[in-house]
Amino acid sequence: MSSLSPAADALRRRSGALRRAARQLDDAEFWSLGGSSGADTWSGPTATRFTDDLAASRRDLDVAHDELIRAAVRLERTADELEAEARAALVVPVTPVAGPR
Amino acid sequence: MSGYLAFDRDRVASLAGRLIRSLDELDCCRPGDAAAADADDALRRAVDRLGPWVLRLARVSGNGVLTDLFSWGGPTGFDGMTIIADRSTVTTPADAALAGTVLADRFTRLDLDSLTTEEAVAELETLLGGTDPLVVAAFLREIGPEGLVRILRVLSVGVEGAARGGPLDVDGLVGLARGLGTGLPAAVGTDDWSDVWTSVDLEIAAVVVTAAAPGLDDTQLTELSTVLLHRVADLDDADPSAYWRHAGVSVLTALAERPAAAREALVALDDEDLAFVLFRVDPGAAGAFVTSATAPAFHSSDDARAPVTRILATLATADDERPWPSTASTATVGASVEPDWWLHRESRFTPTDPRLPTGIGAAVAPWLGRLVAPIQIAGWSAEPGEPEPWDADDGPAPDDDVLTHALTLLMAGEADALALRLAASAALAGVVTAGPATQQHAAYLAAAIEDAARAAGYHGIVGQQAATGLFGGLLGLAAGPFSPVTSTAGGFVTDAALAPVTPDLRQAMADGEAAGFGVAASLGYAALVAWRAIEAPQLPPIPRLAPPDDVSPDDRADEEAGEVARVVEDWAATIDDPVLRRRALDLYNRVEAAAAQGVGFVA
Repeated sequence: MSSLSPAADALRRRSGALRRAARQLDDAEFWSLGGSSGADTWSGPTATRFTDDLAASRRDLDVAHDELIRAAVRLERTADELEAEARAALVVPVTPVAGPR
Repeated sequence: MSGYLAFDRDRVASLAGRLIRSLDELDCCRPGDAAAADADDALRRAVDRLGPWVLRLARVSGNGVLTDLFSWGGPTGFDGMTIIADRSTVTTPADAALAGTVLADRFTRLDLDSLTTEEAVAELETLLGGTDPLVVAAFLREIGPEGLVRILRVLSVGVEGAARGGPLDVDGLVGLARGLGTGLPAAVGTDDWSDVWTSVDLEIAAVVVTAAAPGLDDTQLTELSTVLLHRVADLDDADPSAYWRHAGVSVLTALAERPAAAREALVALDDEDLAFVLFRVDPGAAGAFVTSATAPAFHSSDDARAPVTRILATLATADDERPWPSTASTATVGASVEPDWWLHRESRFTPTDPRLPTGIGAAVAPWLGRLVAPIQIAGWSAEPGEPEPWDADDGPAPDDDVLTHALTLLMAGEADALALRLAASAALAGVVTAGPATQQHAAYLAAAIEDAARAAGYHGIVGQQAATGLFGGLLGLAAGPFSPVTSTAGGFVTDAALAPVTPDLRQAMADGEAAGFGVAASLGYAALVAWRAIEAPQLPPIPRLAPPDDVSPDDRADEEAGEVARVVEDWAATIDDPVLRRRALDLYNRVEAAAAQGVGFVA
């Protein structure tokens, strides 16, 4: 179902893409890397550095995920506003008609 | 810096694969939407941070080219993991300890005996080259003294081969030895390492010890140094090469940097070793060593007493007929040679370098006023090879006999000039007095006093006094029965507070005796030089005296007197001012005549 506003439709498409990216990020193999790089895989200063980098990247990806969701929400709200404006523009004013005397 | 890495090769390979897939996924997650710019930035940071790990993991797992890591396979007791030494990481002490263990494990697997020297050195360079001292220390603790001996023997064989034109690089070998030395201080307290220094080539041992020196405490450095210096002294006759001397110079130089250790080492060396160190290794290094061991800036008088006593006793009793070795091959040799510092023919040595006595003079002089006893020993116990014990029953002579006895020993050829010089210095400083002596003794003493004043660098000759008064006092002192030599009558005798003689004057005054001339001619010449320097500096310098022909002492006096007179007359002839010319000649003639006749002279 298309909306009354093409602009709002475009914003919702963008929002959807951002939400998909966020879901894709949620499902990424990255999040399991920590479990694969423990002491049973390797240890030593280099391994520790990798773990540190992994943790820093995890924080970045958390930020990215949240930003994707926030951006999607912002777009959706904007789309809602545009659509509301479009609906408001379609309402026809009613002129009073004189009755029989 | 070095570290270690323990890893399961398959799991690391799997991790690398998963990381690659993850990065691909993350790349796909980048929205490229202006509304999500912050998210895009965060994703890019994550990808950029993790990207390089793909290559690193590939290297670790063996799927790529090893560049900054080197590895060896096989289980090493870490749950089947492969262990590699990882030079790309900064180590903590705990990392270093484990890395040292890893290196030691690797070392124990090396069958050095089955390898050529080149192969063994290559393995050691791979194993230890550029390794952090913390790791080396841990490594040494693991392999212990026996392991270190194995390594040093390989290196010394390599050095020997390189010296014969072999393919190995000496600098690289020495660098490896130095690297081991840097780790030694943290390991040396953990085991008995003393056998190492007697089990390997002296030179390579000296390299390790001198590299370790900054980290060793004074006691440790003293112990290691004395062991090596003893070996230096022992090797002289057996080893025709110069290695022993280089090793000696290295050790003495390291000690010179550490006054307390230098002092302890000087006292700890036995008589033969100390004599060898002072006279046979290198004058410059020995001078720096004794200076460091006695310098007032670093030692109290109580602390300095023992080393100064040893130095003086060694000087007084050294009985070495061999000339000093040529020092041309040592890096510290200076080009210039000062006039023969050993002013008396009675000296047993053939000096080739003036720096040692200069250094010893500088080292001992500050203590002359405080250290009567050692000077007495030096003057009194100059029986070659038989130093009088300080506290022996027949120990040092009473104060008033010291100089006389030293003079007697000197004239009998049983004492060297330096003993007398020091005794005379002591007399000048007022720390001893002289007893009765003959006129001849007096003449010798007069020369020795002048000698002492010049050589010790401690006494000044009164600059403001006229030269005639100066030498009048000297000869007045020499002519009569010895009154306390510290008398200042006549203006010669000085003390430490007086200004030093200018270098030119000191050198010129020494020329007569330095060239071997007799006392009378030397005094006349020296008086003239002093007179010119003090009263007539506008006159040209008096030419140096050439050494006399090697004739017997009995026949020499007349020839010398004639030669000196000729030099003096030739010089005087260049003086335009007839008054000054007459004064100069008159001074020389009167001093020479007075000294030759053994009568007093007072200008």
